[in-house]
Amino acid sequence: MGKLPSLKEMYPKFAEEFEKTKPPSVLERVTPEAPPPPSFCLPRPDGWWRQPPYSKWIQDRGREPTAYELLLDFIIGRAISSPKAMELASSAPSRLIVYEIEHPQRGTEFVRMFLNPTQVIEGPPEEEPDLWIKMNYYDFVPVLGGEISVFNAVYEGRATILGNTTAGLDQYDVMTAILGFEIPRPRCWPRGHP
Amino acid sequence: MEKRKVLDERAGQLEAREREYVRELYALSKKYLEVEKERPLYSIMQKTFGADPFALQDSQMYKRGGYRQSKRKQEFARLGRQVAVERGLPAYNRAVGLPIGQRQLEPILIAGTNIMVEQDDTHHLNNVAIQQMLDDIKRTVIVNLDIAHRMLTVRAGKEVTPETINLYLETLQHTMCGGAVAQEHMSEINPLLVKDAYAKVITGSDEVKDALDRRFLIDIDQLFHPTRAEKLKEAIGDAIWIVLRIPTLAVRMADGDEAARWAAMQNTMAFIASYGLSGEHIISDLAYSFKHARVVRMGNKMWYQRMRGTNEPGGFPDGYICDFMQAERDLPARRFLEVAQEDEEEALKYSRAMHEGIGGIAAVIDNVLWLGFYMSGGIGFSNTVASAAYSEVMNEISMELIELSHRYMQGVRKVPLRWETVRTMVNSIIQYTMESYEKFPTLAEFHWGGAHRVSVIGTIAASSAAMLTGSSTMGLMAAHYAIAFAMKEGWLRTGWAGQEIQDHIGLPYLCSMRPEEGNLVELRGLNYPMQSFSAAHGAIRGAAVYAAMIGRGSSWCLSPVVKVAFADPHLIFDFKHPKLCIAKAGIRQFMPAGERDPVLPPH
Repeated sequence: MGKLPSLKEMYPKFAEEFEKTKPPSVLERVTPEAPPPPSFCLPRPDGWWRQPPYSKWIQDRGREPTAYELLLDFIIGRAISSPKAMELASSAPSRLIVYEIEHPQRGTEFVRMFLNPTQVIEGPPEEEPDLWIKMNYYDFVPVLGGEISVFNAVYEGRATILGNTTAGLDQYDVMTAILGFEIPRPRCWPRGHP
Repeated sequence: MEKRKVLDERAGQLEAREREYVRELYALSKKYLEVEKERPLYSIMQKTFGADPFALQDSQMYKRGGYRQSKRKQEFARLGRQVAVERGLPAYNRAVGLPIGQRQLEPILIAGTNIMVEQDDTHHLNNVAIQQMLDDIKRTVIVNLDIAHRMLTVRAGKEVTPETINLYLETLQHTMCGGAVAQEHMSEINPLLVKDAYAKVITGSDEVKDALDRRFLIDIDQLFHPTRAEKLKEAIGDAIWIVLRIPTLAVRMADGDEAARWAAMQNTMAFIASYGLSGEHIISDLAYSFKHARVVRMGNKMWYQRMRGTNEPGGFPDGYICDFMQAERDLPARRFLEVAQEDEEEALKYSRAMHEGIGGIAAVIDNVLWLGFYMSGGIGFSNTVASAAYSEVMNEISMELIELSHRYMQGVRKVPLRWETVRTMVNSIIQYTMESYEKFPTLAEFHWGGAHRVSVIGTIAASSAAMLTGSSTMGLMAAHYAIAFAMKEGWLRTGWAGQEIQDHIGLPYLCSMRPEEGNLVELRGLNYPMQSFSAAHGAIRGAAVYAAMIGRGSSWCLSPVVKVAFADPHLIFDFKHPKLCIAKAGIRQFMPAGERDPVLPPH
């Protein structure tokens, strides 16, 4: 009886082949990686605010606008010209909404927005806000530009909101009206709900 | 001095502003009661209480006649007297104890049906459907036949063909009913006593399926939506599994551990008879394979103090409990988020299926049977809290999850497994549920007790988070968070089971993967140490697991074989319509198995 070859001789690439027979790990199958951020949420080339549609409402200050300037220009350039948005903003209870905007170069910028009476103020809040929204500067830009909804950024995990979500809905209604879309208010919290 | 004056003024202004803010909001909130009347909850409460759901006072209090307002309790009082006279010993007697029942003893409208049952009818001893549900689970054992077939061909030199398998299956129906095959002089069983005992085959292969007698087959293609059937068949492959159901009477006389023994014995006998086997080595190997090798029991054995064998409720893994549920099996296997974005009506079907399962099965197994019956005994708070899960209320609140997802999540591709993200939606739902309790005094009366209400909030949070993310761990995290949130930041006074609840330890240990500390939610069970044991919290883990399965568009939670085994139309309890069965039993229209009438004197 001849000598049997060793396993190593019979299967020189056993370890490699064996690895290939394994199915992917359960964790890989159950929790696939998060999808990459959409292209309009990536940092923009210099001078983007001079391009339409942003150039229609952003004032050119010779540099990229700060978060405060962006929101102020948005209110002055777009909100004031929308009667529906004004009507909605004046029917909502008084709300203080704080945006904490992270810019990749400039760091954190705070901007506060009052709904009813409408006002935009720079800097961190002095009293407890109704709603705190934390997001990236380049997510904030497409939200104001109407490219994505603020809730998309939240539910895709790129923004965080903390506080009274009904205040968030009020804010969302106003923003949606400004951008000229249909306003979806849920039955559970009708408009103006305290 | 000047500074002090300024400060005082500012404080006064602040206080006034605060007062005004609160008063205005309160006045404003009354305006929305009219809107609330459009909610289905309004009509459900109106139907349940027969009064205005917003009424703050019960004008009928002390006028209803105490317990006499309930027909069932009147009947009990009469029968209690009858028993006392017949046996010469006092029995049920409404004259002792506190005079209960000055409040309205409201009936329960069972969700998905138009049947109102009294609360006494949902007690597990009064409700034969609940008993049959547990019996149907306890009497089930699933065995893989591939090992036995391989042993027959390799060791005994027998040929296994479709004909021999069909012969074996026919013989097995006889032996499962206690019929003798290989020996003479055996005691056999009256077939009417064991008419619910049988065995059926599961396979994922169309070729194997075609070769088998259809009577003995649980046909995946017929019972599941094609998209679900495809996934289940792929997972099961060309293996042959046999689902053995022993008689109800046997598990009632012994306990769940009897199932595996009865099944192994009768299965071995069927093999001996149909393949003409002899020789102890083969038979002992066969018996071994049917008792231990690739045998799926419905529950693990529990630790010493619990003293229960396998197939008993405390040992059911949560993943299996959710595989018993069948309510979703006609719906396409799609991710809930996709469905909710597309069509609210379609999403409502998924949500209703989820509540049918967790309300009709998880809440009953965990709250009523395990905590209320096995652990506590006697009458049950747990029966009352489970009624929250039977009623339409959960469906109604979940409609808002669907509405919010439909309106605010358009274009969201995937909700990531990050707590900051999920918390937003969970907060909305908790806030909405708490507001509902505050606006509807009748709802707070219906779910009397803080533990009751926080557990409803926990169930809603678990199902919402799990449906959106498809992760059961995220669902359970939301449930623990919601309960702690309602307790610590919402109502504070949440009752005896609400305050000291183990949600405090459940939350930090949740993501640990050390068994008995954290573990995958599917692999946990009712008797798991680091989680909430409160009555009414049973539905929470069921909600997390089952909703996660529906959320990610899967076809099973833990085992495809268990999922298919409970789709079997020969089961006495219908696991697809558990609430309907419970409602039917409440109005005495459900016929269980395991009755001893054929061997009793006429009565």
